Amino acid sequence: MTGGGAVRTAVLVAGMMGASLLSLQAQPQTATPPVRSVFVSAGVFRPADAAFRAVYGSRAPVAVQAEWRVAPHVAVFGGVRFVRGRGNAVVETGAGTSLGPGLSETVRLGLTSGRAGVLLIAPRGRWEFAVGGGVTVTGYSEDWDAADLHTNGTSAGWMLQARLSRNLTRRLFVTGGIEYGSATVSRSASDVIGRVRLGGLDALGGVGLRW
Amino acid sequence: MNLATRRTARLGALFVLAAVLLGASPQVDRATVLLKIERQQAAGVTAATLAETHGLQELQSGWVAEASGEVAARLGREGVRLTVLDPAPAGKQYFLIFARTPNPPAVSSLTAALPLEEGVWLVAAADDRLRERLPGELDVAPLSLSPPARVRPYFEAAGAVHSLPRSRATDALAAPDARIAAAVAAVSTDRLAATIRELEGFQSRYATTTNLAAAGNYLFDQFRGRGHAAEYDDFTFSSFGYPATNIVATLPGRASAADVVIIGAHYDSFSDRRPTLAPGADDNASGTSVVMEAARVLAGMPFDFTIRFVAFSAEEWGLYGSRHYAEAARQRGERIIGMVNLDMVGFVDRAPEELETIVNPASEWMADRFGTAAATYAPLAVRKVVNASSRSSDHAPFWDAGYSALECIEDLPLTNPYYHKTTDRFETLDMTFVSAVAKAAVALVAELAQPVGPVATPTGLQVTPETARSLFARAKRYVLRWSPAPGATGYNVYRATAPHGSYRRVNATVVREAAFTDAFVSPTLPAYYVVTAVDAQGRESNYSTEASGQ
Repeated sequence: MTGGGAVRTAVLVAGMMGASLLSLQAQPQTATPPVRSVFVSAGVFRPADAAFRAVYGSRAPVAVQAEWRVAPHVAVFGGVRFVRGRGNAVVETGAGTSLGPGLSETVRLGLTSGRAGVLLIAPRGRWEFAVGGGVTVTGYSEDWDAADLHTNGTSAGWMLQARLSRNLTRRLFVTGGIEYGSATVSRSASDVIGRVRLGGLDALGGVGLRW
Repeated sequence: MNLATRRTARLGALFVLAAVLLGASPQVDRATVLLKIERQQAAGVTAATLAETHGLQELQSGWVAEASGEVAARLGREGVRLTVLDPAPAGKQYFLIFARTPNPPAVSSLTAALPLEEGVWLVAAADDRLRERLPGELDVAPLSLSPPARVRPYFEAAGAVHSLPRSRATDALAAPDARIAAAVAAVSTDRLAATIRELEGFQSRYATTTNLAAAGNYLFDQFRGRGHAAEYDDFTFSSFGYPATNIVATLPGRASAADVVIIGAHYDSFSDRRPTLAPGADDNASGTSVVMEAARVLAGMPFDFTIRFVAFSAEEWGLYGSRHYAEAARQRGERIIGMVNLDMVGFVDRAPEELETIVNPASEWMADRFGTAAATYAPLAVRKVVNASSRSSDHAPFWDAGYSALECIEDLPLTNPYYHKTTDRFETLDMTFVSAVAKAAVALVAELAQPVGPVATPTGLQVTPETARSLFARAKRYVLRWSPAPGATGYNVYRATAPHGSYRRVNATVVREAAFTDAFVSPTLPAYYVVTAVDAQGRESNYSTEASGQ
């Protein structure tokens, strides 16, 4: 999936959420509190790996997450997160420990993470604070066309999430928060980097629906 | 002869061989048999024993020879691997058939041929009309059964010279250069002989004698007489501090005088009566004569790189002269492209006849280039021996100093029965062989020094390795910079994965600047670069000196 594809997906999800919101508002309201929610968010991702930052800098992830309240203060969640970007290859100097200036050769990266986990939720009036964590499976791909080097694979990891939401209406809410993910790729070959950390810190904000 | 007949013939030959080895028949013992002696001899087999056979034709894997049944039986007992090709060759006429292409047609379908090794067959025939029945990929040469003066090298037959299979470096050389061919053609056997006789005339060239000093003066004058700038390179050796002198002549290079090709030989000698009589015709007036002749035929030729002609002293005492020279060169930071050492290149036993070229692994490219130069310019068969422990001559100090060096020697182990004796005289030498060695050596040195071309050769090539990386992948790259060549409108960049190997151009279009980045080369293979200049007419220069980023 390309970066444009990720944005299209997010817009599609947001559209569906909007349509759902309108249809729900047309129905008679009940006293049962909403137990399901879905939101889409975007933000900034700061990779933990210095080489990641040197090649691609900070990227703008897009995430979609669905939650189901299984208890008054506990929810399980699942979702997907997309990171796409272009960067430039860099020169290694000093036994690979420092990275020199970028080259003109373009490289392209795609990260797609599926995640699932548990959140503890603390509602306070219109506010709701959630914190939790889970596991991730990240599919990665990188294309260095000039060098005819193409890399892809998957890597398992974990993530932590802390999020604050505010209800705008009974159904609609906005949310923002941070999350930290960790996933490491380890390989051995002459022309690949032996260990790459795909994780890092996300700062995300978005909008969602509950029903 | 069909297959069954051939099998019968082979069985017959084996039976006769068994009979010979068992000594079952005194008549067979005295009769002459036709043998193939394998080159891989068992330890302890002496050249003198082999010398009892009459070598007829050298092969890659051994020799075709005649011997009495008695000698053949003894060789077998001594561990020599041999095959009886014909137990009764007398009165027959034999021909050798050899392939000129790697995949020749099946000879057995055409003639009653006995395979000797890959691409070589032996056949008995009434006359050489056999040639007419063979396809063009096959050559025919008569095999004379009368003992010749010396075994024919592999492969010199019917007036044609067939080189040994070429090494991977062969492709790196272009077509024969007319200027090099002219220099090779100018090599004079008479002058080689005259130099050997002159050096022998000093009676002894033992390193501590005044005779050697006189011989050094003679060489100095000869260098000067050939138009070279000559100099004495003084040093002392042994705990007694004996004075000695290398004699050095220099032909400065036009493109890069700092890059040097050396051709050298020791001019001192040794014998059991060393202070008074050590003629040293083979060891090593022969090698010295080649150096002097190279200095003569190459004098005045413009080369890209400097050629040094060096007569080393005190080799027999322990390589003192060459060690002094090589260590000083190392300390000066001299860029020696390669050193050619000629030591004992005049004696020809009957087998083998080929010149041995001794190299260490780092210098293997020189042996490849020598073999190619010999195949291109001189009728000389060459056998490459990669053996870093073969250090008994003046090439070894150059190896120790980190330079590429090649030793040329007639046989290793030595077979000259006059070695280090007062009988090491001119009369024991084969001047045809000396001349062939001289031609090949001249060709190699000229190839390495490169006759000046129509376009100035780029100089000052420097290679800086870099590693580029993305998030997941790593790619090696080399940044090349060199000095602009006068008159150049562009450059080409060539890369090889072995030193002085087969270069392949890496730039798709002519490089306009004196810099180039060779990106995305293999991270595991080494890379060696040369560059050439291109002028407005599209003519290309010689290669620059080689540089690597290792």
